[in-house]
Amino acid sequence: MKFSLITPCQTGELHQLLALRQNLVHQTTHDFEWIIALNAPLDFTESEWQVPFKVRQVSFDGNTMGSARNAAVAAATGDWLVFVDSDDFLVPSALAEMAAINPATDTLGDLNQYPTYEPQSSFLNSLEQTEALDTLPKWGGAKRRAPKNFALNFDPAVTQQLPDAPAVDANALNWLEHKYVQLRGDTRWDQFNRQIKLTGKVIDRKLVQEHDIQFMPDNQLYPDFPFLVQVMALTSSYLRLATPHYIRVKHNDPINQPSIHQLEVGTRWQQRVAAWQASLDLIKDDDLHFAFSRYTLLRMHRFLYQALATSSPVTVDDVPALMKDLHHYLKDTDAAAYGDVSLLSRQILHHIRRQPTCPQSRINGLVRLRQLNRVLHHRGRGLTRLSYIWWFTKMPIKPRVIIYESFLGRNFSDSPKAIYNYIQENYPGKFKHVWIMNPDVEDTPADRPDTIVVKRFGWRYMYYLATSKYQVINMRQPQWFVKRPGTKFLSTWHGTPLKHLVFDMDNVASANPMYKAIFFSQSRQWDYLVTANQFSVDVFEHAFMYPEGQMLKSGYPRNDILSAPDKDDQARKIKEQLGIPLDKKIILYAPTWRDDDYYGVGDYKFTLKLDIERLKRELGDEYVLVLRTHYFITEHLDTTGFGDFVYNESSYDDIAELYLIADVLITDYSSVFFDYAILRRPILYFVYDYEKYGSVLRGFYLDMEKDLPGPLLKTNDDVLSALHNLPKVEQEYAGAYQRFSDRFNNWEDGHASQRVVDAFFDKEDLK
Amino acid sequence: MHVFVNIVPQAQLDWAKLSSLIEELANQNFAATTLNLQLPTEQSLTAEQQAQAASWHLAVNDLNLPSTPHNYLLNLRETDHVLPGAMQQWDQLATQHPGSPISLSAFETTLDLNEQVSTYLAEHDSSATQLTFQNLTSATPTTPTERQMTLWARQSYSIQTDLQTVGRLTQRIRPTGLLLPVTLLDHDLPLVSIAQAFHVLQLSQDVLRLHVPTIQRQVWAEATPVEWLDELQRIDVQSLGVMWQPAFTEYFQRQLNTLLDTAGKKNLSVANHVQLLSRIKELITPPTKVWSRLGLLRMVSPQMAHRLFY
Repeated sequence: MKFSLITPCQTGELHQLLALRQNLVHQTTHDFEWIIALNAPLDFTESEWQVPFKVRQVSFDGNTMGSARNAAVAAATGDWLVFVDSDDFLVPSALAEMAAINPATDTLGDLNQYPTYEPQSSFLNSLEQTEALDTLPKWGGAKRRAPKNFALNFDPAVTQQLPDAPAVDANALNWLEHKYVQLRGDTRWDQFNRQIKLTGKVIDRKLVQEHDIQFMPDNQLYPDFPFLVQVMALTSSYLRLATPHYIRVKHNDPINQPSIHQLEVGTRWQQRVAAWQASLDLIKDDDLHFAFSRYTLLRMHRFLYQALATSSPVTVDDVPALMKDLHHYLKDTDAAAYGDVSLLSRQILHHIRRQPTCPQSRINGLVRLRQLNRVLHHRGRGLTRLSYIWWFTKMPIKPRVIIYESFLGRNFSDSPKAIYNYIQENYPGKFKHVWIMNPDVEDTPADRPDTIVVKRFGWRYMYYLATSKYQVINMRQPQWFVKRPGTKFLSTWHGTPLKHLVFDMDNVASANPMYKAIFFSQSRQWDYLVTANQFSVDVFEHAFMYPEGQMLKSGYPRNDILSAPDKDDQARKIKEQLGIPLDKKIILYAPTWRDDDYYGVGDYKFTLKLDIERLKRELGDEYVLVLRTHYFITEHLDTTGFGDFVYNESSYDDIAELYLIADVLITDYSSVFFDYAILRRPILYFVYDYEKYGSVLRGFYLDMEKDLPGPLLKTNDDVLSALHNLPKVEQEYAGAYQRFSDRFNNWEDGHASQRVVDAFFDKEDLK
Repeated sequence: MHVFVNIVPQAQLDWAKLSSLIEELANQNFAATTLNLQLPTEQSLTAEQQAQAASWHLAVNDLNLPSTPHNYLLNLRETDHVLPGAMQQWDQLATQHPGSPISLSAFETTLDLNEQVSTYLAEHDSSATQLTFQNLTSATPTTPTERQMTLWARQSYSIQTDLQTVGRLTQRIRPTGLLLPVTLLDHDLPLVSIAQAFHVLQLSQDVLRLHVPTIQRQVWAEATPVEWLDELQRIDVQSLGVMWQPAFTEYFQRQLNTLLDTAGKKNLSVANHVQLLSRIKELITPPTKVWSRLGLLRMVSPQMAHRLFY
């Protein structure tokens, strides 16, 4: 048996184990056994476990990874131990490559780790679409570290072409076909970061068993260090495959599915230092002692100070105890290794080495200098943000100031606008209102009483964001936002959810991999979340993991205008303002933006599938068409030639006002219909690419076939026919419309703003 | 992989150099090769040369490429060279990542190959891969054979998806020294042209770049500057997609600057140099850097520029 694959597994990770099993079946060699350390029953007689290699299960004492690995290593019989975690996977040729190299037994082998956020299933799907053999999942590490060059292996028979037919060593010939990097002698401890990671390592079993090398069974988080340093001390070289063969899947949902490295544990640093101490005590070799000391000092330099600085949340439970451990550890480290750490950092480490106390002011100072350095590196960008963190958040809170932001400052709209209008009308002069706006926005409330407009990310923005008592925002606040005691944050959100959100999303590999974690911490800063209906309450509870008790079951303030008693008068005024003849009815066309409409910067496919020419021909006497599209499309849409039939209002600030004037809405997969349905006017769904959108629709909360208040129309003929026979359509869908309204709009009575204001603002501030 | 090697003379066909290139290709022992000599209409072969060509299995002006997958076109000039093991490396790369054009890095034909290889290896002697190989062979490379083997050891490639990066277009748009998948060729365009290479590039998802040289070639801008300018001018910028227009325009201007630089090295006669400068002057579009050759040419007459640059 060539290899023994060691996989520790917790009971909650069985699904990962099954995926890894499938991956191992596809290895190009099956000369291995797979040892699973798991304290739960596995039925190997089941057909799915009939695999072309030997599988064994071992149980272990306790529940740590260290115990699990020790038990599996003890049971191994292969020549080489290969450490594979259950959530990772291997490139099909990984084991065959290592077997072909056939390293000497005193070698620390490495399949070459490649981090990704892409799950194995998604990667396998992408493999089916290509003939290429060198495809790897999407890179999940630091961008600058992404591998760019791949070694090219080829047949060593090529040497026969050389004129003087050299006598080449067989190992060198084999190397041409199976390239690797080997570090030995002077370079033995280079790339220490790579060497000290366990997963993907290939280690001689006899060496481990003969020397009784063990993982730390009692260290929950860092059981590997002592094991690895002992192996490193007993091996004379480090051999890494030239191209990545071990795919390490990083977790993108640290809230629900944290990896061990993502667990929030207050004793993390203590466990880390304990593992380092145990390792250092085992090292006899001077060079390795130096290399390990240097590695650990650089880790402290990079990560420790942020955990201890008081300007950010301190993540260490017991700082004095940690200092005591660090003091002991640093005394044992190699003094020469301090030379590679920067001066300020060195001073901090020397302080702890001399005495077991925390040099807090030095640490805070270093963290601040790092922040300043980042700003200088970006030529001043981020200076206002730094001022916010350093100074503005230390200033007193202004009790009667409200800051509003709608769609990241893009316009004056949505529920923040409705709340603002309501307060201005009912509590005039009671508050100072601060609106966040981007510089290019034309329609702003700057000229209204008690109102100022501030530029997003500008100095005044930072000042008011830090000092205003009330914050009303309809999307997410910045990641660096500090929730100060005594302030109140209202998230109005911006619509009834149609597409799966945050924790309901299957795979956010294409977005920021930390998206879920960031969203979670941001939403914990919200004091209240406005909801439009019970459906939204239910969805937000699981999609945002937001407590129901903090949701305001009020309906959307932005929709009050749609139930206002004077809505007909308002509609008339809006029509006049837009120059639309009062005797014409209005079709509002609001399609969603499709990802595949976008080819790249500067190149767009912006043809509308709706046949406007025909609409004009058949309905031009009675109707006009108001277009509301995504702003990407808007800028490239040519509506000349349709005369006074088409009004492109894509950049009109407040879509609710367009609802008010529209007699019929045509849309597709956009959530606009939830709000429009409050008006009880007909809605048509022009879904010309419905079949193509199957995979997208699976990510919807609604069943488009059953839950909608209007017909799904796939051709222009269908749309025209429906428009010609609107009364009939209304009649057909009366029941569905009623059910839809009951489900989504029965809180919308025109008083949502009042309910939100009463619940959110302190009574004494409203007096 | 099947390689259709299409050889086009640099000027009047140099039979000795062609023989040398054919020998290098034969030494590759790569069975899946078709050889063709694309002779200009004003040139022809003697009976003896025709007989020799037949013995080499070198077709003449037979440009029918079977458009099947895994077939590649490689245009070369007879003055170019193919290094040992080149075809095995291309074949391995095409197997790893089929269907993409392969951009080959190259040594110069005007300089001594041994010196170039030594310099190349010296520049990379700290690479962990090279050191690993040297540890296995227990020696630093001193003989040509050892140096060639070290070149193989260092061979690597990258998959480049930034197709419009102007700085890399020189590697990707060239009439010779590229492996083009036959399925992407436009048969209405000349096989040996930058229009053809550019067409393939526009249809590609990615380009493979083989980093260690496997051929020796002369840069068109240096060897035949007038032909190079002709080639550049044959691209119709207006017919390009909106993504490609700005990239090609910038590339074009950079190439004019390169031409001014290389054509001044007295490869051309005085009259031809002045004529080339006149043509380039008409093609300059702003913005240009004032202190570049292109910027200076904008301000002075071709004759004055000739005195400055030649």
